[in-house]
Order: sequence, then structure tokens, then C-alpha cells
Amino acid sequence: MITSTEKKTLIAHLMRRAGFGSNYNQLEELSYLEYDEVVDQLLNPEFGSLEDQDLLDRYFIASVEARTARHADPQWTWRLAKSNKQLEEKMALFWHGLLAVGGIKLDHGLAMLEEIDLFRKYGLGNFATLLLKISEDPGMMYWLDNQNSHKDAPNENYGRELLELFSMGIDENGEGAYSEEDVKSAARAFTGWASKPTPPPFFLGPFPMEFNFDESDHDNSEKTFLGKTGNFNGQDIVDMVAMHEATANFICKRLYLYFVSEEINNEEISKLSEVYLINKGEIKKVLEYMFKSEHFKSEEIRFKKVKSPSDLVFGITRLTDKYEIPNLDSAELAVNTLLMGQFLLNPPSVEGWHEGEEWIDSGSLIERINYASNEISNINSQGVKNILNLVIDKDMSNPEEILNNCLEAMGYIKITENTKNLITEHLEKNKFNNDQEKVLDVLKLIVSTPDFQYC
Amino acid sequence: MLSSRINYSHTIGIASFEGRGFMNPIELKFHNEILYVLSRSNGSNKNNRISAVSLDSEHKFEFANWGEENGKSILPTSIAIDHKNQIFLSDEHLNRITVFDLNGNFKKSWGEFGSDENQINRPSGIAFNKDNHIYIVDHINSKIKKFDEDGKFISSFGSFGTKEGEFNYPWGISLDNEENIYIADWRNNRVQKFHKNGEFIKTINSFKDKKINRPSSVHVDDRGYLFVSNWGDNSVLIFDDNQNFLSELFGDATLSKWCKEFLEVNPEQSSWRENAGLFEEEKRFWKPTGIDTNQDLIFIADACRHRVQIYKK
Repeated sequence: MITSTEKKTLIAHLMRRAGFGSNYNQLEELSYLEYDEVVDQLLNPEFGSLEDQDLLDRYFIASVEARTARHADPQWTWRLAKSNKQLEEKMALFWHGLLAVGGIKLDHGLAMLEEIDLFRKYGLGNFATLLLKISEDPGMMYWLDNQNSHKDAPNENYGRELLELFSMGIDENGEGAYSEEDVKSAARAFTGWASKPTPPPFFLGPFPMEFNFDESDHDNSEKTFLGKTGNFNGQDIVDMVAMHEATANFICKRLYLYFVSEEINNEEISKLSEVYLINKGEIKKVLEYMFKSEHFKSEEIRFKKVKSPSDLVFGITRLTDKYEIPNLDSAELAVNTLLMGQFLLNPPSVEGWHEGEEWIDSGSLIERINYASNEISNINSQGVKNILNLVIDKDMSNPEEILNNCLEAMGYIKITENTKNLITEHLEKNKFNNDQEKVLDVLKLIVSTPDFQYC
Repeated sequence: MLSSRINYSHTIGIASFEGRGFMNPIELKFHNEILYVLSRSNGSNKNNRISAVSLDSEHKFEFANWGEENGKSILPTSIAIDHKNQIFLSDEHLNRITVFDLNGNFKKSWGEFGSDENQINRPSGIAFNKDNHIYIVDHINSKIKKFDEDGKFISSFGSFGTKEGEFNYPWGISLDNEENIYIADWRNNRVQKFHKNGEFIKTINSFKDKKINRPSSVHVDDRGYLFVSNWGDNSVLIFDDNQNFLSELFGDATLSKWCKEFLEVNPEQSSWRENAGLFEEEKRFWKPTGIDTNQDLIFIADACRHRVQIYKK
């Protein structure tokens, strides 16, 4: 039987990984549920438009007809900061990094937002369906040049990335469970898959992109793919790829790296792959197994993953509960992740972002600390007021107690003993004009520690 | 019937981040043969401004560009011209009303953020009465507030809610010749009509068998005809002086003079457009917002297509 605090600590861990974190009051509420029930709730969001969609559109009209990724920002960042369906957004971010389409070439904010919505809708479902949908995504077709892939001159770009980066993967030697011939066959199977032409966006703004299949430009001849021969089209390729063992391993490895740990654990990944294959590629089943596993829940996993810029920015935004309705500041949240190295709606290449320790360099670390420190000391934010009230209501005489109460009020976070000692020492040595000043100082110190860069 | 006499005239506009053209125009006023068009954009993109253009598409000047200092704006919402030929601009980020002369020169500004009677929180639509008092749709405070031209509070009415006389994120405002007040009660999906003393008169929330959807702007012309931007469904509704429904417009835009010039010097863009062939889609409104009229013409700000569609009455 675990204690109430242990349960909240565990749920807090889940919310940091399966979402962007929950604040103290939210954790209180969630703790009325069993841990597994919280997992189930996260895994079953009801797909639909945002409650505040009309407000976003009203206040940020240029994001309605988003001509570029930068114009589209306010739409997605508001959801990342506010949506109650945290796993839905976290998965959209996962797929955005894995099935990456970059604004630098596509430069069509509307299409980028539609792709994110596709990830919301299918990201927790069957992988074959998702792979088919992304193969029919006009933005993806444009991004990987499939409009230039014709039956008499197939372009291999999409076929190659589909196998190498989106499904089966390659090993450290650059070898995959597929051959060069398979790449060529996949490319031929996707000929005729493209986006419809749209008017240029420069004078009237953008028009929505649409998928277009041109039967007359599709290679209908026989192809051999992964040892099978037939008149395969794109859907056949997707179906064969999605249920391949290499794909199960590749996708589960990526999910493991994203949600669990940056250190590969082949045993755990094998278990996930098995769940994937048994459940015919149902991503929800893999995640359910993952989040409910003792491995995920164990202490050794917690606070070991480097927060991505999005984890940090939207985690802080949620902790401080800064925004009630969209405003200019919320519309610029993507600028903060950009300064920390993550240009949302514009991943650097088809490989997405290199995550983990690579997120942090001296420049991005300063941005992270400055951002977090400014936000956690903004006493106009409701979440900061709540933290202050929670801490000041308790024992303010003992520095160690003050620190522990701050960590709890910030959503049951943990720092090392060494860091704790440094902060309590600082509290003992310095004088403060009042309790609020003292607590704000502790909060700023906490978010400035190396420990806070991990979730 | 007005509906049988309404004809599309022409379009002014092209998307542009600065200078000739607009970026998400959401409000306009026609005055002394000049069309003042308010570009909103996103605050973070910094393309907002008021453009002064002639009816034959001559870009004359622009002002109220991005900035916090006097004469600038961040998230502008509405413009109104008073009886002293002054242009008033509301800004919902700065919570400020800025006053310009007709040449766009800054004259003064006022406004204080808050929820007290003399304060405002995200002002949206503005309009003047015959006494040169300005009505401000104080949209987060769910009130319609009346100030003198120097910002001295006079009176207010309204509160948050869904009942008669209550508002939910109201947006546009217009006054008729009797100084009755029409409010686009945006999130309540209706237009409410009030006596000049703030007494509720009636609600307009449907037409034919359809409901109004997120009305952004209202405008009453000199004959009492009511024009409503049915923002949520991308159309403009026209009602007679008894608020009986007459007609619904969906947009009829042709290429503006500026767009034609652009395509002439960018033949690859022209060929791209021809290849797409979305000529019908190009005509339609996308988030129509501000409306103004004179004796002969109706001007509609077509926010997401960066243009003004003009109709003949």
C-alpha cells in the first residue's frame, strides 16, 4: 500500500512524462483516482476542437490563415499550454518530431496545423492508419518531393524516408531490414500520390492543401517488396511495413526514448515490441503497457530525462497557470522554445530533433534558466500565487521545511541532496524582508538548478 | 428590396506586411473619399497599421504601426471617426484609445486597464453618438461604456451572461440615426439592439432557418439597414430597418488592381494560380469583419483574404 504522497509523486511523474506536468491542485484532484485510472484517462482523450478555438481565432486572426509556421504558432502553443488532453498534445509533438515536416520548405502554416491535428486524431491509434494518413498528407507529399514522383520517373525520397526514418529504421551501421530494391519498389508504389496545386499564398493568403491521387501517373506494374511480389500501391506498402518486426522495434524504441529514458533498455523495448505486434500496431496498447509497467514507475527512471524546450516552457506555463485567455504573451510562447533550440512547426530536417543531452548547450541553458526564473517569480500568475499560499501557510522557520514545501507545491518535484544542501545553506545565510520574498527566492533557485532540467 | 439591387463593385487590397496592401484587415471607415483600413495581423508579426487608400486603389499613407509609444498600436481592434474629423483607434493589448487627425498624425491617447467603471479591459468596437461621445465595447468586462472624447467616463450598461442585455465577449458596435445601439454579441451568437439609454429593445439571432454564428461586426446605414458580419460562417447578412432579413453575401471578389499588377510582374505566380484553378474559392469571404457604407457603396473587410470587397447598394 503506497502513501498518499507516494501516489501523488507517482502521478506527478506520469504527468511530467505523458504530458507537460500538473500543478499541486491538479495532482490533488488526480490523486482521487487510482494510478491506472489516470493512465486510462490520458490514453482516451475525446478528439475535437478546442473549447477556446473561437477566441484564438479572434485574437490571432493571422493564425487562422497561417501563411507560415510562425503565423501558425499561437494555435498550437495555446493547446500545448492549456489543453486538458495532455497526452494527445504530447503525442502530437512526438509524431511531429518523428514524421517530421519542416516549415522551412513547406512554409504553409495551415498545412502544418492540419498535420498536427492529424497526429491528434490518429496518434494514439493504429500505426498503419497513421502511416497511411501521413502518406496522404499533402504537406508531407510536398515536403518529400512526391509531387515529382512519376510512374516513368519515380522519386525515391518518400519511399526511402518512409522505411528509414518513419517505420523500419536502420542500425548503427546504416543497415536496415530492407534493401535498396525495396526502397525503389516503395517509391514506385507511391507514384501518383501528391498534393493538389494551390494558388500562391503571396497575394490572397494561403488556401488549404489537399491530397490528390493521379491514377494516370501511378505505376501499376508488378513490384517486389520485402520478399513479396504483386501490384502494390502505397497502402499495400504501408500495411506490410507497419506490421514488420523491425517497425515494431523502431517505433517502440522511439516511444521508449521519448517517454521513459534516454538510455536504451533492450529488454523493455522488446516487451513493448511484443505488445505492438500482438495488438497489430495499436499505439495506445503499447503506451498503456509502458505507463503501467513497474519499470516506468520505478525511482531509477524518474528525473533522468532531459526536458525538451517544449517540456520546459509548457511545463512552466502550466505550473504557473499564467494564462486565462489567449494574449500577446501566449502567442509568443514558441519564441521561447525556439531560443532554447526547438522551432515548433519547423523541425530542422526530416530526422526531426536530436533529443536528450543535445538539447542543452551553454546558450540554451541560459535561456532555460532565465525563462524559468522569470516565470516562477511572476506573482501575477495564479499558479505562483497558489504556490506562495501553500508554502507560506506552513512552517516558515526551518529552511529545509521551506524547501521541501516548495518542491511539493511545485508538483512533487525532486532535487538531489547536494542541491538541497546548497539551497538551505543559502536560506540560512541570507536575510529576507518577508516570507514571500524568501519563497520566491527558493523557487527561483530551484528552477535554476541542473536538477530542474530533468523530468 | 435591397437584395435585388445589391451588386458587387470591385475589390481593393493585396496581402502585404507593410506599405501598399493589408494584413488581416478587420475594420474600415470611409470618410472624405478616403478608405481607412485597419490591418490587425498577429501582434507578434508586427504588421498592424491603418492604411489610407482611395477607391481607385491609390495607397496614400499609413499610420498606427506596431509599437507601444504614442501613435502606435499592438493589437488594434476598431476605428471610428468623430464629428470633429478625428480618427479614434482602440487597442486591446494596450487598453488604450488613440486619437489621430485625418492625416494620421497623433493627437492624444487615453485609457486605463481595469474593471472599474472608468477603466477598460480589451476594448473592441467603438462608435460615436451625435454628442460626440464614444461608446466602447469593453469586451472582457462585458459592458458598453460611454466616454467623452477625452476619456471621461459618462455611463455604461451590460454585464456578463446570456440573458437580454447581457454579453459574452461582445465585439462590434453601431448606432442608427435615432442613436439606438447595436452590439455584435459575439459568443452569444446574436446582435442586440438597445435604446440610447441602454434599455434592451430586441435580439436578432437568426435569418431564414439559420442561426447567426459569432457575429464580429455590425453596421447600420443611413436608411436603418443593418449589416452583420457572420464571422463564424464567413458571410455578411443584411436586414431592413425593422431587422427583417433581406440577403446573405458570401463574397464575390475579383482580382484587385494591386493583385493584377502583382501577377503581371510575377508570371510564375500567375501560372501557379491558373494551374490551381480555385477561382470560385478566391471570391469568398474568409472571416469578414468590419463593415461601412456611404450612400452608394458597402465596404466589407475580408480579414483572411487581405482585401476590402465593395458592393453597390
